[in-house]
Amino acid sequence: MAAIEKDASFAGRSGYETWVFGILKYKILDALRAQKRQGKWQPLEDETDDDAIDRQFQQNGRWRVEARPARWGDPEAAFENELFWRVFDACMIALPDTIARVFSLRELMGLSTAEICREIGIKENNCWVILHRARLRLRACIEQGWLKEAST
Amino acid sequence: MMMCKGATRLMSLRQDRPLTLRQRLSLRFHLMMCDACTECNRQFDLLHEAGRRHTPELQADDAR
Ligand SMILES: [Zn+2]
Repeated sequence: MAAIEKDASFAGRSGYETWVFGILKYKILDALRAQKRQGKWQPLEDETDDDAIDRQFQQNGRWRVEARPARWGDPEAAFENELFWRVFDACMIALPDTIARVFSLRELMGLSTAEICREIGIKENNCWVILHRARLRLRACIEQGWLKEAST
Repeated sequence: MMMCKGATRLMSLRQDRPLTLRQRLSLRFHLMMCDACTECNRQFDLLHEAGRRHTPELQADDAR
């Protein structure tokens, strides 16, 4: 966690990256600390339903036709594509705060779910639920923004 | 039988901890029959790698 405090190491970034990072840092850490201080960290508003995910699946648990995942192609090609990263960041920013925060701690910062639980005081099970939602939302958002944009 | 929604739960879980043998087998079985979930599984792998590369300065040193 200490590494993130060294803001000086981000001095070389472009304005756009600094902006994105600032938002993420705020979403992830500053808000988290404030909430913990005030003792009002809210793991999830509603445990049971999440519209954004129900929109991807039918009642019987199969993918909705319009939400079926498409082929994204070679990961390395995606990572070299600036548009991919812009869409990725936009989709991260569009995530609800709790989901963005847990996903960032897990994937951007590489913490284990056990560490995340300790850090923010939620059950590990809750963590996996949140990460599942994060990944489903992100995949849908990126597919919309990236593949559709790239093909026009 | 596990449906796609349940399969994505396991695909997500396997990014965070090793699956049990039973979970691995039921996921593998579903993926064999389901192209959409096979793509989703690749996308979750890609998201994981993207997260790792997003801002290297953020990665916890001891995390991997
Ligand atoms: Zn499936």
